[in-house]
Amino acid sequence: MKLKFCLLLVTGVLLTGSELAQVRKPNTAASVLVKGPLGIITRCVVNGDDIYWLEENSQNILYTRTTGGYPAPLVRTNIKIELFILSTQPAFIT
Amino acid sequence: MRTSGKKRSITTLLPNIGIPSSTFLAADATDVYVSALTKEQGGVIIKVSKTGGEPKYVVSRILSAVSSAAVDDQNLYWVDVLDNSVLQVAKGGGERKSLFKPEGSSFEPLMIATADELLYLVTRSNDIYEISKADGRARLLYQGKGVTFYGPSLVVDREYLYWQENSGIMRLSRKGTEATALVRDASPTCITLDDKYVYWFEAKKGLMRVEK
Repeated sequence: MKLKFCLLLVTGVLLTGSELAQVRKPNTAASVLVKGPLGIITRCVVNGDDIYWLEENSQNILYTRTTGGYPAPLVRTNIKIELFILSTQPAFIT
Repeated sequence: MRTSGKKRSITTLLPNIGIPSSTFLAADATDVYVSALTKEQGGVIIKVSKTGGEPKYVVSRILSAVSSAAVDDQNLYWVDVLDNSVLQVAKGGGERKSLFKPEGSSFEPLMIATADELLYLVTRSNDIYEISKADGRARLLYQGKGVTFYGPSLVVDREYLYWQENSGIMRLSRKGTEATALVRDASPTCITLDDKYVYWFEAKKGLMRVEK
């Protein structure tokens, strides 16, 4: 009887422990995806697996994966881009 | 203008529309909306199909200094910093309507975000309001405690609002419980989200992210 009780107790503790282990706390440490300096970026948006932003010079829209990586150009222009939005694809700019 | 994804070709959707606003650009599933100052109609909001074609005036002869705009299934919304109000108009056109304009000279709205039946508004002093789209009824969710240097970013997901204040990124449940600092010791200039992470840019550090 005592042995059964002990087994139940141990099983209960193990189950509870494994359930608790599955409740993962969010990692609140910030990570760097693209190392700076990037200047002052005031237009940015995530779309799918990519993040897009308007460069500080307001002429180019760059993007990189949301997991990080070297930025690539979506558009390079010689005009001033005021705003951009992403609506799935394509992008719209004024 | 429209870019065709990562092929990087640019198509002009609205040529010669006058002076386009630098702060009003919105899109839904089929159309793009911009505001501009035109010779013929004065201040206007123009709608054009994403595939191009003849533009249509949603509203014309308006005098607005827009600082932020949003679109949902039925309406366009924008912040007018001349009138210190939030305005709306049906996407199909019609009369513009003042949705929210509280009394008080210190009220300076800046940016809106839309979510379901609500708009969220951040002011120059970083106060955050929740506004009913149905009747303009508003409640103050958060009283600002600091300034932002690059203009506020206000982003919203299903559960929370995120914005920048002092040296950090704040988070507040849309139900209006107490705000907490999600990130401290940061100087974000732009904040954006996906399902799992909050991303932000800092002038010196670069592109950063943290789990929600």
